[in-house]
Order: sequence, then C-alpha cells, then structure tokens
Amino acid sequence: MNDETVKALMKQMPAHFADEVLEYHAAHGTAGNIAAFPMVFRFLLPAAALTAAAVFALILLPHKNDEPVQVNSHVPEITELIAVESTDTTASQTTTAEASGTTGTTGTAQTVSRSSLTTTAAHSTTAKTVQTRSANTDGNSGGAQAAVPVQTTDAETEPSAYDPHDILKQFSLGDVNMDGRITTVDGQMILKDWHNVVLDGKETAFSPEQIILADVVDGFLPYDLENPWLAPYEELKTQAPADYPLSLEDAQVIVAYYTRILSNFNMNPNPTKNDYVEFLQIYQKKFEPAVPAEYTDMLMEKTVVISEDDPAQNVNIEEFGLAPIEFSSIEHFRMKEYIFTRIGRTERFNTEVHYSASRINFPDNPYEINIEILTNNEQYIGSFGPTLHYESGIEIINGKHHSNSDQVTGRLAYTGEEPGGAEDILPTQKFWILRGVQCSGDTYINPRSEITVTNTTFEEAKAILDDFFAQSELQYEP
Amino acid sequence: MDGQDARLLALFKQRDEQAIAETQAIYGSVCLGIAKHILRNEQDAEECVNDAMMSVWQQIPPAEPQSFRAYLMTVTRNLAASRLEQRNAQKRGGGVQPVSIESDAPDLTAPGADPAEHAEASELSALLERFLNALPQRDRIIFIERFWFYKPEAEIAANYGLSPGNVRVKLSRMKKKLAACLKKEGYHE
Repeated sequence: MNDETVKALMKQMPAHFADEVLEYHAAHGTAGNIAAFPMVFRFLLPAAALTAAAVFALILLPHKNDEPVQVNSHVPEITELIAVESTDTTASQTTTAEASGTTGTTGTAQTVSRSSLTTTAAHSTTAKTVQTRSANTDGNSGGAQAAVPVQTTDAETEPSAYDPHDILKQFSLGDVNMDGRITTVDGQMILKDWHNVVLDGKETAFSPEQIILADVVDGFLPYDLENPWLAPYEELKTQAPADYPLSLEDAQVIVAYYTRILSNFNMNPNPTKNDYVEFLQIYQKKFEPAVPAEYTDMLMEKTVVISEDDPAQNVNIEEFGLAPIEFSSIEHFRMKEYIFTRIGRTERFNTEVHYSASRINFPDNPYEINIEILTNNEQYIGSFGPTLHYESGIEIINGKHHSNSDQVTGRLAYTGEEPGGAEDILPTQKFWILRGVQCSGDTYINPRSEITVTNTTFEEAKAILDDFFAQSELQYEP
Repeated sequence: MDGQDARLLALFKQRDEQAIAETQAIYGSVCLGIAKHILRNEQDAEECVNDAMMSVWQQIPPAEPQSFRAYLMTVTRNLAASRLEQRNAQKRGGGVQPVSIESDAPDLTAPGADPAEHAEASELSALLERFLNALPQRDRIIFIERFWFYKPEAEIAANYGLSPGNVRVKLSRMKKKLAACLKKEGYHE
C-alpha cells in the first residue's frame, strides 16, 4: 500500500481524529499548526533527537535487561548470513533459528553488556569494548539453546493484539529471530529490514513481534556525541576485515553512521569526492559484493571527472558492470532521504543533485525516471519524474557550479511544488535531454539512449518530455 | 462542541451569511494551512478554503456535525486532496484516475452521495476508526499527520524528536497493519 493510497483512504477518516491531533498538540505545546517548519530546525532537531535517544539509552538500557547480551564470534557465522540473505519473514525466522542453533557450537563467544555497549558508543571512538571470555564460563554460550517457537503473523490484522510487555517477557530486545539469543543474525536482520524500509522504501518484512524486538536499533542509536564528525568507519576499522559480516554492535554503529552521513550531506550541499568515497567505503563493507577500493576510486574518478568535463560521456558508466548499481545505491540513498525531507515543501530544492546513472526509487511509485538535462551549454542537471517534487534552483555539486539566477535564466520544465507547472522556461533555450534511466527497486532496468533536442520552444520540449515519460511507462516491466 | 462552534453551527442553520465570515475569521488560517500543505500553492489553497466554506454552507443544514471544527477541516482536507489528484492527473496527461479502493470511496461530505457508496464509505470509516483507535496515541497522531494532514516525514520527525528514518519505519509498519486490516475485511488494493 503506497502513501497515495493511504492518503486517499484517509478521506474516510472520522473527523474527530483531526480534532484529536489539534488537541494533542495544544496539550503538549507542540507544533500543532501545519505551517512549514523552519528549515534550520529540520537540520538541528534530528541531531537533538539522536542526542535524546542516546541519553535515553544511557538511562534506560542498563536497567532494561540485566542479562548480558551475547555477541558471538563473527567469522563462523557466515553460513548464517547466507541463510538470512534469501528471505522473506517466515523463511528467515525458521532459517535463522536453525542457523543460530549451529552457532552454539562456536568455541568462544564475546559478551558485552548493554550498558557497556551504550557507554562506549556515547563516549569513545572505539566501536566497542567487549570482554572476551571462554564459552565454558558462560553457560548460555556453550551450547545450542532450544529454539523458541516462532509465532505466526496471523494476528497482524489486529494492531492491538500485540503487547510489547508480553513479548519482552519472552524475548529480549534485539532478539529478532526469537531464538533466545542476540547474535549476528539478529543484527543482520535488523539492519536488513532497516535498509529495506528506510533506504529502499519497501515494506517491513518483520512481523509485529519482530518489530517490537527490533526496536533496540530503531530507537536507540549508539552515537559518539562528543565527536559527531568522527569518521565512523574508523570505529569499524578497529576490527579486522575478517570480522565481517557484522555484529549487532556493528549494525548499530552503521545505523548511526548513516544518520550522521545524512546529516553531513544535509548540511553540506557540496560534498567532495572524499565524502563520497568515504560513504562508499562504509557502504560496501555492509553490502556485498564489496567492490575493491581501487575500483571504487576509479569509478568515482571517472564519474566525477567526466561529469565535470564532458557530461555526455557519463553514459559510459555502464562499463563498470556492477559498479553503477553500487554507486547508484548511494545516490539512491541520498536522493531518497532528501526527497523525503524536502518533498512537499516550498523551499528551494537547492542542494541535491545527481549527475549520472543514479537510481531514484520512491515507495510511492513503482519506478521513477531520472533525466539529466543540459541547457544553454551549461550543465544544468535536474531530475524529475511523474510525481517527483521539483523546483528550479538546483546547484550543481560536481558539475559546473552556478546559481540558477545567473547563467540559467529560465526555469526548467516542471516548476513549482508539483511537476507540471513549467511556465517560465525561456522559449528559445536549448534543451537537451542527455539520458534517462528507468529503474525499479533493486533492478537497473532500462538505460535509455541519448535524446537530443535543440532550439526548442518550451512547448516543444515539454511535448518531447511527455513523450519520453509515456514511452518509459510503456516499457516498464515490474 | 464548544460554544463558539455551536454558535457557528447555529448561524449556518439560520442561513446567516455571517457564518462564513466568522468561520473564516476563526478557522480560516487552520484550513488554509491544511490546504497549503496538501496543495503547496498559496493561490490554490486559498481557493480551496473558499470552496470549503461554500461546501459547508451548502451542506449545513441538513448536515449536523458533532464537531464543527473537525467537520470543516475534513471538508477542506478532502477538497484539497481531490484538487491535488485532479492536478496530478492533468499533469500526467490523460486525466485518468487510477482505479483503487480509494477512488471508489466517496467523500462523505459530498451532498447526494449514492446510498451504496455511502454504506461502503461508512464501512471504511468504521474500519479506519478501529484501526486508528488500536494504535498508540502518538503513533496515531503521526499517522494522521502524515496521511491526513500531508505533513512531510521530516517535519513530523522534527516535531517528535525522532529521526526521519524512524518516522518512516513507524509509518511503514502502520501502513502494513492497515493493509492487513483492509485485507481482512475483504478490501483489495
């Protein structure tokens, strides 16, 4: 069910709920009106939220669960991860429960308490301080534990059927596969679902019970508040590469890192190549198959440099095979987050740009079109699709940087908050569509060939664009 | 209903045109805010609010809302949403609305609704009531703000001290629950 469907459905919402919202805000002294929230607070408040979450975690978590959380040694668990990768909810519950059973034979285990985990995250640059001890000293880690029966999801249709307290009596927060232990598998599942929902816009694969148990990551992010700009992958580097796949702690650090990177990008309209590379490095540690660093550098070099010097050659990005998908994933992440934070607003959409085969995937749409546009021989890259919020005022990050008020004197098509305005592009402006990429979910469907249009009036250009969209729709194959 | 709303309602029932002026004065900014959030265009929003006032004028009487404020907001919201749908359809070129449960769902505030449609809308409304009531209050507020008031996720996140990702996850989960509720009741997307 997409957002538009829900919005339409909500036409039937009983009116008293709208009243409740206003009264709720009146009672809590919060932003009850629906005026646009000042821009600056949207940047600052997420940080404040993280601060609050971390503080809350510091206060709450040490008391929430006195039992130590076991984090198994990473290396032997690769087989578990393979099992987890393939999965829908039900299958993963079964498979991971089995896999967890096998990890019980692992010779050593690391045990870390929640309090130490949180404390470490709050004040140090080290990812974690774990106390290693032999399995023999830990009665729980030496052998396989009996698998706890996995509950069915039939009761999902009744939101009130789930009482977090009841579930937490049986399982610990974070024990997403409900096998009685918190292991790498749980961390991977949490991270995978977080990725699915937040980055890819998919529906959660978790059952309501799992969701309750997954909230350990969702709500409580370990965060180095003292030094928020520390490159988080340095924290991860405290482990040898063989430590990967990741543990729950790693997952938490990475989630925090994503948030931090996002904040970084939010505040920095001109991220450098190094920013991207850093992002790639952390990203590819998490998502296999990892592209070697030199390959990544080459990709970045080629993409960035070419987009500055000769945008037309951007199409050559395909020669990197897998890499464009990896690369586009990052863009995809940025775009998605940005769109979600900006869509529907009246402020200028002025810091987000992508410069080649980026992939835009909105949960509200099965696919989106990304088009790059060059006007007046100045690189002016815009992206818009059938429902993509678009305003002029885009600044180029890696292209020729200019403000829209100078060299680009007319607005590109689709001005205003919703696509389709398009009144004030200069009628005689040259208008090239370099290429569009049609994508769906994780699939890179249809790189399109170049379309060149010159010396068009706006109406002519718009007609071509509309035709482009129409063709794209026809060619869409889910 | 408080005295103010009762008085407004009485004015409408008496067909006193002062009703519209006073409603505008009291609730105009709230309605305009709702419309602006949905339509993202000042002029369209103002027109929408005017339409809403006119719609209320036409519907009361005979309509007798329990909460005049909520009723007015609902009319405004639904008019704005319909206007947005029309605008988007025009931009897509064909003007053809996608067929789905929502497009069949009539606006209860519309006069002369077909009885069958009205019954279905009532069922949907009851289902939504149950669904929303089953949510924790804050989640419910978040859900309504996102899908009824059209608030952006980032704004909701900022208001509640959550990360945008967290809000997104919450909404995704709630949508999933709603979809399950609908499916259980025999609705299909």
